[in-house]
Amino acid sequence: MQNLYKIILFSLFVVFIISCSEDFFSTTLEIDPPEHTDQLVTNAFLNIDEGLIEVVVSKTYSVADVDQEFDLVDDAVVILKDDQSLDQRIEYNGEEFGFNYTNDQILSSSNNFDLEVNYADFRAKASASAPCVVELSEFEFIADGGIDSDGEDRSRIEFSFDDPADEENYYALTIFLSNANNPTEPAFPTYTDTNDPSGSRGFDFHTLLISDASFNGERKKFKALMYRATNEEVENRVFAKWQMITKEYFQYSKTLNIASDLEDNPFATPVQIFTNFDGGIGIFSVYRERWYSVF
Amino acid sequence: MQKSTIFISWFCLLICIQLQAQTFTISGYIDDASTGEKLVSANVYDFVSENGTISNTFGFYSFSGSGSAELEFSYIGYKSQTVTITLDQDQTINISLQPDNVLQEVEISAVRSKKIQEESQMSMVEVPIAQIKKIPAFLGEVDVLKALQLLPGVQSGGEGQSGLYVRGGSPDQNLILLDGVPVYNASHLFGFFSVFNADALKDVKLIKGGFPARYGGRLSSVLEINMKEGNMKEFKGTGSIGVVASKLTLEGPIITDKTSFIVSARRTYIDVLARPFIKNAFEGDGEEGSTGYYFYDVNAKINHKFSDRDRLYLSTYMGKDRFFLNTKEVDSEIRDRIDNNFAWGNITTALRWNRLLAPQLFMNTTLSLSHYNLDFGVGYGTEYPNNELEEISLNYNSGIRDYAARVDFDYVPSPDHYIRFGAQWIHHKFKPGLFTLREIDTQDDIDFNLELGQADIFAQEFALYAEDDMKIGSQFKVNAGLHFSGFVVNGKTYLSLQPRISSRYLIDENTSIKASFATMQQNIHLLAFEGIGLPTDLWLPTTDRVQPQSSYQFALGAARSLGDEYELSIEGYYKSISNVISYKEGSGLFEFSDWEDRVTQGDGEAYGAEILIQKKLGRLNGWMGYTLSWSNRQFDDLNSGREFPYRYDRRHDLSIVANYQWKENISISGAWVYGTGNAVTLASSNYESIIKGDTGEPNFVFASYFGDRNDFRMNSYHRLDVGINFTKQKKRHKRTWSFGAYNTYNRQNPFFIYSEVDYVRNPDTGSFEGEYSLKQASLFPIIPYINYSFEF
Repeated sequence: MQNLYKIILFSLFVVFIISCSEDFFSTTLEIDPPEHTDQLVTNAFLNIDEGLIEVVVSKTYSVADVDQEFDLVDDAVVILKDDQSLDQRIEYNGEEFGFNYTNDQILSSSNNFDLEVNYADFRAKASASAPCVVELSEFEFIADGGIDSDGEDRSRIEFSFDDPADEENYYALTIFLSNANNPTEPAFPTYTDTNDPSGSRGFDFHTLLISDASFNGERKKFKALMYRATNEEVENRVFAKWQMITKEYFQYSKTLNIASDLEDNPFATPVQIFTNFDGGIGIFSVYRERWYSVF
Repeated sequence: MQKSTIFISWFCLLICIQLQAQTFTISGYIDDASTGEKLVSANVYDFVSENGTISNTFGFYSFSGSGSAELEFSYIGYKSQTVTITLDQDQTINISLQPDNVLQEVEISAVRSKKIQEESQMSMVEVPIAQIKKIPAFLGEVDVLKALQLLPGVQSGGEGQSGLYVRGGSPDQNLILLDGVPVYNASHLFGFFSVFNADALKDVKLIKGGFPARYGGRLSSVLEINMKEGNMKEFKGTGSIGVVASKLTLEGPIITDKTSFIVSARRTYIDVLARPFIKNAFEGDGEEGSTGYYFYDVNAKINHKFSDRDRLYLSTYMGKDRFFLNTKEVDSEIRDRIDNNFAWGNITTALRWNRLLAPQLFMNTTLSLSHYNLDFGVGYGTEYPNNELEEISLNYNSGIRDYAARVDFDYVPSPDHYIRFGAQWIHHKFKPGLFTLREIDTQDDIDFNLELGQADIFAQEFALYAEDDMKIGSQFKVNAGLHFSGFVVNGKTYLSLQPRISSRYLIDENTSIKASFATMQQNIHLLAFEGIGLPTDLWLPTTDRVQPQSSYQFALGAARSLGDEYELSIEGYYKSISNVISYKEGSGLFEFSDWEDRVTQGDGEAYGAEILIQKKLGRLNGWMGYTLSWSNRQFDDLNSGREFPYRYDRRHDLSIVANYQWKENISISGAWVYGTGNAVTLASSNYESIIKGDTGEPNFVFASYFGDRNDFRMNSYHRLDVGINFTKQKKRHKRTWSFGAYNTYNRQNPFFIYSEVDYVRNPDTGSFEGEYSLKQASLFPIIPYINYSFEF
């Protein structure tokens, strides 16, 4: 028993001595990152009213490849189909810093589309349906429009629309101003915000994303806030870009916003950006777009 | 015919009345002969009828029988006492058991204590406070919750954390009762210590499943902690001086054997010790200021025995954590000032009245308050020579306050039935988070005050319950009950009927099989970040938009006593949880939007098996626990709706705890734990995402692909803690020196993972190139401790 007592004291002494070594209190350890597997990334936007599809096809790269540049794919086979007779290959256009597969001659009377992307061993496919047409009316500009969530004074734009019943609808709104020397053409977007809980900020500070979850099938009067301006400053120069978007694009846009906001926050729960592709990641979005002169 | 039927009926009734008349009740209290402390769950066994009962939370027992009885009163660690009695009238017998001095006798003689295989309750563990005090502790600070983490089915959230994750549940799903009052935030120092001061505690009981009907309001566990009542015989004190904190407990009789008190206080003193150094540091910068962190807690209790029928207890706990950083320029005419304060704490108070309504009927009435509050404040100010002042401050306040009334009845009509019934009402006041922005500028005559946040929410919660612990034949025992609860908030009422059943079947004298089923409903939610337990976690009610959490759990197991010293239990369980709450991806605490918009609800399931081998007696005692488990979550709004592992899904969890009484005055203890690494989400790939710009151009946005949520496993966690205690009886007091070390072999256990990119110059090209690395940060290397404690 006496020996045990000595062993314990000796052990404590050894621990004390060892703990004096330089890296004994090191608290970081390098570990292996998760295994990377290449995936096909497709971002495709189909403006069904204009018959325009714009696609970017690229690949993922390992998180360890910090000097990796945008890995565009230039020899993918991109095919757009509808549920009728459309079976259109979208050709590569040589663009290196923009949409690298485009076609502005899409003719379809259907609302349901599939996009297939084949490249090497990758087979990615996504489906999307065109949103309903919803027109805006009863525009009004109020110079003294109230304060936004940051407590800033804003001007306000009001308009109304009839939300289609029995389906989920999503919209995107951007307020534009024209240049004073060319007042009829929208030139640049303005800061846009809202206190309406059905709306939320889009990726930048220009676009509002709107969900009809709280007014499904009703006539909605929406109030958007823009930077504070007098009537004289902006008269005949305010325009609204109104997009009818899919639920998938809404989710994609929301998650992309959040992921970007959290990029530098090490304690935030990571956010997976929404994808509607099987066999790959990215978004296939079908949308409609309208422009209105507001004030 | 009719007359004969009536006659037979009357005859039977008379027989029943006669039989009833021949049954008499012995009742009373069982306490510690040296202190007068009531003994909870002490065993009462009649060798004649081979029936028995146990004492309740207040030490009360009731035993009914006829003829003669030879009653043995026993409790582990105490010498048993036998009373032979003739049951010819109702009698009150109060029993005082003498503690069996372990140190002197070294080996404890076996007593007929309560055996694991005999109880109908399953998934329950009681760890004696004396045993908890011997387990090596982080920085020498004995911690009840960390000791419970060493049991199977109970996990810690992470390195050093005191939160309990029971059978795949989250910490908010534990009903932590201190003298019957819920404690909402059970941790100090961001979760590194629990709020419970072991010196003030009498007993700890954890129930992980098969919940009796008397408990409700949480899904995953019930942790019942009772404070000591105070020594009824003589004035006593205990205290300790440790690395982190010191504590002192005083107890004694106010009126011997009638009224006693106990006061226990603990405080950290890093802030006090560091004050001179901090003051010097500020002075060097031409400032005066202070910074520091401390926590304290105070437990106090007074109890008075009016008679053998009436007792009154008044107990309170108050604890607070505070971090502060205040600076003020002193060397210039225009003096800038910064004030930062971060404080949180609990207050609980319970007034309990015991009344013996009849020898078989015991009543306890409780009036209680539980309050948790968080304050966070940041202020900047400038004082000008002409006494003008500019000041801007932002304060955040949230919390919860409960007022509750509860009445519980224990009715023991016969040794075959132990009936409990009662009712509870709670008035909740939730503060979901209020920001107050204030700006004062005396030069420009500005006094601006803006409050942003949500109004207080008031809710009423009530519950009714009834349960019967029934003995059916000699082998079968069932605890069956119903718990009915209601929650009224914003004009909406949620009602819930929760059946509970727990049973055991004795295969032989030493072995039983057990099964249980319990449904639970939880009407309050803790909105928390996955990760360390922050005091900023918000307690929130069920509302018309946020549904109550509910669960059902069934378990099957076996229990066996191996000789007199060892107990073995094996249990398998399955738990299904609905409407658990989580932040939506990207949402956070400090947002002005409605909290209901920031949360999403989903489901979870947990299943697994647990093995516990305990040795309660002898020079070497302790336990070994192993858990094999799975725990998953599914939210429509998270992980694209796919199921994912809960962050604390831990496939293997093993704990070995041993205390060895080497000599009369020296004890050695050790604890080794192993657990599968936590599940976390890490990016495996990067890519460029695209969003169409305002004028139709593509905006390329750097994005990361994470795969499925919590798809990556941190390294496994293991560590060994050792300790040695030297006790010596001095002339006027007994002192103990404790030495030990946490994480003895200096394992670098994972706390969190982060990525880093270092840019280094390539000597060939001259350009800087990035080198990516993924790093695991650990929190605690080997940490030795020393602690001095005393008793007088």
